[in-house]
Amino acid sequence: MAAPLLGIVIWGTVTGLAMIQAGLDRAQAVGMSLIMYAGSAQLAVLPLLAAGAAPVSILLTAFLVNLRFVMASAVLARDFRSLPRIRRFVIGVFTVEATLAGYLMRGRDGRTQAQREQFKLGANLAIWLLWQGATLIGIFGAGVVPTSSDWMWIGQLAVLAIGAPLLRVAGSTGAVTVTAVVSILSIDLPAGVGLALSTFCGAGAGLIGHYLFANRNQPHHD
Amino acid sequence: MIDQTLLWPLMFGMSAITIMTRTAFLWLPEHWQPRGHAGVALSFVPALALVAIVSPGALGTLRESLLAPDGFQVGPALAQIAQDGRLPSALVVLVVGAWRRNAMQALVAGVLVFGALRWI
Repeated sequence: MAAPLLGIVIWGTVTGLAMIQAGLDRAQAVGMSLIMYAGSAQLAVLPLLAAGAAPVSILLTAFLVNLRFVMASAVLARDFRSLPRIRRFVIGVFTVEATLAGYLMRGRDGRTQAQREQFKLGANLAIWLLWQGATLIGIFGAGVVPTSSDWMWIGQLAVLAIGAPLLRVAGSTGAVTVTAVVSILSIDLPAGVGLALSTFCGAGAGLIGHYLFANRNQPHHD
Repeated sequence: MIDQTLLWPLMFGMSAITIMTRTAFLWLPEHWQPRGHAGVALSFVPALALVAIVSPGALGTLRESLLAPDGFQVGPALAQIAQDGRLPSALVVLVVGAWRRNAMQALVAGVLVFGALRWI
């Protein structure tokens, strides 16, 4: 359990630091952390905010980054089917990477729905507190490190690191290559448009690669 | 420069989008699960969106070298890419992350490579 918690602290600190380096003042950074509570989406949109990108691009980017929660929704729907809507809503709103992964790995097996809800709510609260604390460290620690665009890039690496472990399936190499090439070719398009275009071209390449190479590699489970 | 008038509305907008995706299991049809070709393609999307966000920064120096007015030269291009540090660190994050299936190891490896290239 220690490693995921350390991960929260590291990502939270990096996000706090990156928000300040992107040009937010402290109140705005704290506000962003409390209102959004979405590390990868925050890190992803910071360069766009700093560059004054179109609002549609920024919102589309936040949507695409968060799409992975939609992919996990079938499991949550099944596990919490008979809870009142409001309690399911609370479970969902505070579901982040770490609580979802922790829940899927060790929160489900051999538990009743009530115990699962308890596990999920407890994890949600603990991670929320830890995340907000780590973000504050980053926000108020930003004053003691020199201002540099290098911090923004470390924020970008933190975004990429969340995506990379998802890529060990047949067809991923081609999918990543196509995504990267299309993104650089579409660099003059509005940010969100280029992002959507390159993501979906990459997904198409991944689909083709998946059926070409699926037999040789591990089966796909999603 | 950050647009101060749009910042707060944008934050609330992104928050609404985030909440919508995290509560998808409330409003999607019951037993919804993407299957077949669409399911496979869709399963790539979240990771690729993160790759696409990082790509323009990672490949910026390579692009400049390719579009250089006096033609592309391998030696200087490689030196520039190494000095910039972004492309090598992004590749390390991708490879370590996919290989170890561990985001933290990927980030630490990437930051070490980036730091080594930038500050040493």
